[in-house]
Amino acid sequence: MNTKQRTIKMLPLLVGLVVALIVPLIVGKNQYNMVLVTTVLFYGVLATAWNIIGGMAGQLDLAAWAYLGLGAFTSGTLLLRWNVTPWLGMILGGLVAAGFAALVGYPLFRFGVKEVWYALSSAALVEVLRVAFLMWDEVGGPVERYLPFHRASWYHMRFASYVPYYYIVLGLLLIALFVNYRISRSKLGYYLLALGESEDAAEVIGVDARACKLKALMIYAFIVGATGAVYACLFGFIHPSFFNTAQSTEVAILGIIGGMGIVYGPLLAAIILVSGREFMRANLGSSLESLYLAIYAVVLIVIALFRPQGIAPLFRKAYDWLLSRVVGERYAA
Amino acid sequence: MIQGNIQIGGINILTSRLIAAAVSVVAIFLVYLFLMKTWPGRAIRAASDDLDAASLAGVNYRQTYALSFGLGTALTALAGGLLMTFQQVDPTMGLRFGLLSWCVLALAGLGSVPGLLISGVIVGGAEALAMSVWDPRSRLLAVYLIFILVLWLRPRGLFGRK
Repeated sequence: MNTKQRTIKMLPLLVGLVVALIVPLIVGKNQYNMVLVTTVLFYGVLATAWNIIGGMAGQLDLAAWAYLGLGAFTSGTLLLRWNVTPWLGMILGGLVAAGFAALVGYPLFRFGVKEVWYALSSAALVEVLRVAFLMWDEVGGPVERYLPFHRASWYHMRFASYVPYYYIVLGLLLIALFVNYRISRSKLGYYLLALGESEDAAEVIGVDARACKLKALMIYAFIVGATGAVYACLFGFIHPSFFNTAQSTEVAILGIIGGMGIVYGPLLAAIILVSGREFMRANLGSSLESLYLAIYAVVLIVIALFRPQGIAPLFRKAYDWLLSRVVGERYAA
Repeated sequence: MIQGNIQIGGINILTSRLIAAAVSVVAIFLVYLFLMKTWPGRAIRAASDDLDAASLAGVNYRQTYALSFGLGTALTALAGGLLMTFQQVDPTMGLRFGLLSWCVLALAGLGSVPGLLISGVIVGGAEALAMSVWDPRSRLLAVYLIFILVLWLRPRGLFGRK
């Protein structure tokens, strides 16, 4: 691959990055729009992280918000009780989530829980944590715990505007994408892809499926846990309702719709679907409440029926076509 | 008609719950008869065991899948109708009860109808015990913990065939 081809391949990434960086300059005046773009990126992070365990390793994990909630509670409690900065809480929250993932994942993979049973037990995990945190009065409990309010404090990660949060989530997204990319180019990534296709075949060749899956689960949990800490600061409270089964399922849906195992697929799906959903919610919310959910569901079903490999290949084709029109066939990615 | 209580030896039972239980038992019995004694029922079981062999024996698997999907949906709707006579209902309850029914199914193991009755009693008993002995809020916790433990320790369930 020569330099020109590499430039062409990196072009969409650079354009996307530039657009992402200047978005707050365009819509930054309106705080509601800032929340929306932050939410979209936020789902992008979750879906991108999910791609490691769900897309590459092929484990249908429905526990995204379990790890997110753990991260949020860890960093939120540290901030409330001991005034520990969420920047540190982010890492600790990620570690707690990863540790919990190891604790749960080890027996799950040890006893060979697979496919639909894995999906269901991970979904049950979210509910278990929700009830457990509702009952744990020292940390959780049924009342929201509000984080201290500051107009602009980097130490407390609390701002009156949503613009800083946008950049923080953007940073997380870049980290998640980078980790994803590195894994997809590493030995672990190829192992995961192999065992995602067929676990028995991969084990015969000598892949330690259990260890690989556990690693993937822990990396995923760490990223989601760290995101959870930002989530808590963004909305300013922690509550057991963070452990949300429906939202966890949605993360998996975004990952599947985007294209299993394609690094940028889940992000594409999050950008298109989540922004479309929020747009519909804002525009239909006053006249036909909840209709947006029905439309959203129909779109998902249509994509699942006619594009089971996801929407990322579609974009790739479109980009290739565009390239061949602009610079000629030779440099098409 | 279905409101009010019935006294049986000092225990108060809601009439609606009693009716729901009776209808459920009848429905389970009918499903069991259907699966065991009729041709479409046998076709469903055969298709779940070995799709290729069943196809060779003349089972139209598209029809069979459609039938079992429709039957399952109808039974779920029946359960929903019975449930709402004594529980709160809201549009987002689907996932919660979906998980709950999977718990019962996982405990029983796939493909065992009598096992479902027993595991249903176990799950319900665990719920009630956790609520009265431990903490009223721990209802779902007990159920899901049982679910996860069963998946870990005995993935094919207590009475499963596979």
